[in-house]
Amino acid sequence: MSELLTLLVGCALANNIVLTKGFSSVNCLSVDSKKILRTGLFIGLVMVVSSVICFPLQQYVIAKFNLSYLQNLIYVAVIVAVSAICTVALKRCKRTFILTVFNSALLACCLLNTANAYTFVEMLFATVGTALGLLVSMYLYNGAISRVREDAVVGCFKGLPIKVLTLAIVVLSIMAFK
Amino acid sequence: MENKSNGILKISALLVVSIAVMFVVNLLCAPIIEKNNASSKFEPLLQVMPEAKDFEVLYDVADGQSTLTDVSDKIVAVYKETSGLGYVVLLSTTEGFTHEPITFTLAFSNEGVITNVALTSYPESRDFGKDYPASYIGSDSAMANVSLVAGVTYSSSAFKNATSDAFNVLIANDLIKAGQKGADQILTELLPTVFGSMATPTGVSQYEEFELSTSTLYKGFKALNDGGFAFLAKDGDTSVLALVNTSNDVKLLDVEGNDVTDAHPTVVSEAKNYCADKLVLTDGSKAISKLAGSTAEQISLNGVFNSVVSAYKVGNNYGFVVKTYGYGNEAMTSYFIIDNSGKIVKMKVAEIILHSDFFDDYTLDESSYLAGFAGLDNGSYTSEVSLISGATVSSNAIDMAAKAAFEAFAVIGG
Amino acid sequence: MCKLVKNPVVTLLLAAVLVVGCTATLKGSIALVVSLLITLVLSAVVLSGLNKLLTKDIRLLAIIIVMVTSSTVACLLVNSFLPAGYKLVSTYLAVLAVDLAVFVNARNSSKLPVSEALVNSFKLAIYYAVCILVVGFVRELLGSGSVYGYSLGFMENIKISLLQTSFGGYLLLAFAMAAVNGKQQSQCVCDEVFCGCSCGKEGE
Repeated sequence: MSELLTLLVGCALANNIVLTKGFSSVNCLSVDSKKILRTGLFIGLVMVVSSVICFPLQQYVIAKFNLSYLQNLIYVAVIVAVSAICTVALKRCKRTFILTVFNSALLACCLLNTANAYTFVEMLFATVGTALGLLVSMYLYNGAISRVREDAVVGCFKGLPIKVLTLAIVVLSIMAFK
Repeated sequence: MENKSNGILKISALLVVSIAVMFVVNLLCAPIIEKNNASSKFEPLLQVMPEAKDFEVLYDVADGQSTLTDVSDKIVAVYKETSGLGYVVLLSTTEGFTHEPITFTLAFSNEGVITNVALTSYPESRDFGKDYPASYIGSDSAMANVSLVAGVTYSSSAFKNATSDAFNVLIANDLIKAGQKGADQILTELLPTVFGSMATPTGVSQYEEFELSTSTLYKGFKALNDGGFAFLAKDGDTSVLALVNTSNDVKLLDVEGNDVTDAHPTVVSEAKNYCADKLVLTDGSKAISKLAGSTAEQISLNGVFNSVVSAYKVGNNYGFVVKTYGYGNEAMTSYFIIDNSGKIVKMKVAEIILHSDFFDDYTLDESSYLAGFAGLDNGSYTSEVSLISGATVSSNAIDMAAKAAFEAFAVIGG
Repeated sequence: MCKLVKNPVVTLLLAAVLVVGCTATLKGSIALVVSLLITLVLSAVVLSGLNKLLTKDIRLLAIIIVMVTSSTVACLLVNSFLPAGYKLVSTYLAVLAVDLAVFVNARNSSKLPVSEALVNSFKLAIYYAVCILVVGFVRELLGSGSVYGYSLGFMENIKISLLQTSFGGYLLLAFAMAAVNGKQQSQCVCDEVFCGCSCGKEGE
C-alpha cells in the first residue's frame, strides 16, 4: 500500500504531468482562477475513466492482435467518447469539451500508463495522482501569477511570455520533490 | 435524420480509410523499425567490434537458457560474431570500492586476444584513468602486461578479475585457447596467497615493487605494512619466489608453490644479505608486556610468513604483533597473547575502527568485543567472533590477524 | 518570422508541450520538427480536400480522425528513419494527435483551398522548426555541454544541468516568446477557441 501511495504522490508532485513533463501547460495557463477546481475535477474524472477503459483495451485488444499502430486512434476515441458523455452528463459547454479532448495530459496519461507497464491498481493510483498533479499545478500557477505586477513587466515579456516564465518558476518549486 | 445518417456514414468511411492508411504505412515501416531495434540491441557490441556483421547470442543472463558452462556471475552476455571475427563479452562487476556495478564490454579475437575494450559504467570514487582499460588490448588469458593501478587497487582489481572471468568462460567452452603465463607472472600472482603481509584480506596486493640486480635476484617487493620482502629470482633455469620475513628468515617457492628453500642456497644468502639492513622491526614489546602484565622477550619468527611482524615470549605465553590491512588499505595493528595450549588469553587492537568518522552507524562495545576472543583456539575460533556490523573491512582485517596469530603459534609454539 | 504566422507568440504557446518535452536534445528536436511537418501538412491537405464533404456536425470528429492518422503516420516514419531521435521523444510525438497547434492549423486549413492550406502549413512548420531547433540547440549546448550528442570539452565546467529539465524548457520558451513578441507590434489576433494573451480583444 505504501508503494501505491508513493506512486500517487510521486505522480502528483515529483512527476507532475504539467510541471515536470510539460503536458497540458496551455490548459494550466488559460484556466480562470475561479474555475480551477471545476476544471481540474472534470479533467480528472475524464482522465480516470479513460485510463480505466484504455487499460483492458491495451491488454486484450491492442497487444493481443498486434495493433500498436492503432493505439493512438483507440485511445483518442475513448477520450473523445468519455469527454462527450461527461460534458453532456455534467451540462458543460462545447468549449469545455474541445479543451478536454485537446488536453494532451489525457492522452499522455494513457500512453505513460502503458509505457510503464503498470498493473490495474498501480494504473489507478498513478492516474489519480496525475489528475491531482494537474490540479496542484493549476493552483500553484494561479497563486504565482496573481503576484506578478503587470506594470513592472518589461515590454517584450508582457502578456504570454511572463505567464510562461511564471510557470517556469513554479516548476522550480516542484523540483524540490525530485 | 438523413443528415445525421449521412454524417455517420461519412465519419465511418473516413475512419475506415484512416485505418487502412495506418495499416499500409505500418506494413511498410514495421520491417525497418524491427531492423533498427535489432541493431540498437547490438549497439554496445558494435562499439567494440564495428566491422561486425551480426551476432549470435551464446549466453544472456536475462534469458534462462544458455549453451555455455562455467559462466561466472560477472558475465552479463556472450556473443559470437557470425562472420568469424571473434567474440564479445558484456561484463558487470560489483567488486570495486563502492560495490556499485562497473560495466564494460570486451572484444576477443578467435586467437584468444583482447582486441577492444569499452567501459560503459564506472561509478567508483577514484578514476583508474582512460588508459587502464586500453592496457588490456593485446592481452591473452595470461594478462602478463596488465597490472593494477596504484591508489585505485580495488577498482582495477575488480576490472582485472572480471576480465579473467571472461577469458575463463571462453576457454572453458573451447571457444578460444588459453594463453601461456610466464614464470614471473605465475610467481607474482602467487605472492599475495603465500605471504599475508603482501595483501589485504580480499587478496588485493599491498606492496611496493622495485628492481634490483644481483646474481640471482632481479625484482623485489616490499610489504607496505613493514612485514617483510619478497623477490623474484632466477637460479640457473629455475625461477623462484623468495619470501623474507621480519626475522630475516627466507623461504623459496617454485612456480608450482612447492618449498624449494634447500635447493637454492645462493638465492637464500643473497636475499638475507639484501634484507639485513633494510628490514623494519616493529617493536611491540611494550604493548605486549602491558597486555600480558609481565615482561616480553622477543623471539624469532622462523618459518612464519604471514602478517605477524614480531613475536614474544611472555612467561609461559606467547605474544604476537600482527599488522593487517584495514579500511583504506591502512595497516591495522593487533596484539595477541596466546597460552601454551593455543588459546587466546587476551587480545587488543591499536585502533579497532580506522577512520571512525566514516562509521556512524556501528555500535560496538569495545571491551566486550575484545573479551569475546579470550579462551578461543584455532579450532573454536570462527570469523563471526571478529564481525563488526557496519565495518566489514575492519572485521576482515581483525579476522585475518587472528588466523595469522594462530598460524604463527602453530609454527613457533605448537 | 513574424510574417509567417498571424500571431507568432500565441502560435508558439500552442506548441508549448512539444517545446518543453522534446527540446532537451537536438536529436529530439529534429525528430519533433520532422514529425510536426508531416502532421501539419498531411492534416491540413486532407481536411482541405474534404472541406466540401464535411458538414458542421461532423467537422470536429473528422479533424480529430485526420489528426490522429497523420500523427500516427508521422510517428511511424520518424521511428523508421530517425530511430535515435524517436526514442528520446516518442510519447510527445504520439501526443501530436491532440496537439492544439496541429488542431488550430487543421481547423483553419479546412476552410481554405488545398494549395493555400499547403502553403500555410509549410509556413507554420518552418516557423516552428526555427523556434524549436534554436531552443533545442541552446538547451542541449548550455544544459549538457554537447551538440547532437557530441560533447564539447570546454562546456564541461560551465554547463547548466537545470536547462535539461522542464524548467529549462519553460524558461527558454518564455525567452523565445519574448524575443518574438519584441519583434512585432502588440496586435493580437485571437483564436475563438483559445486566447491566452492579455490584449482583451474578442476572437475573430
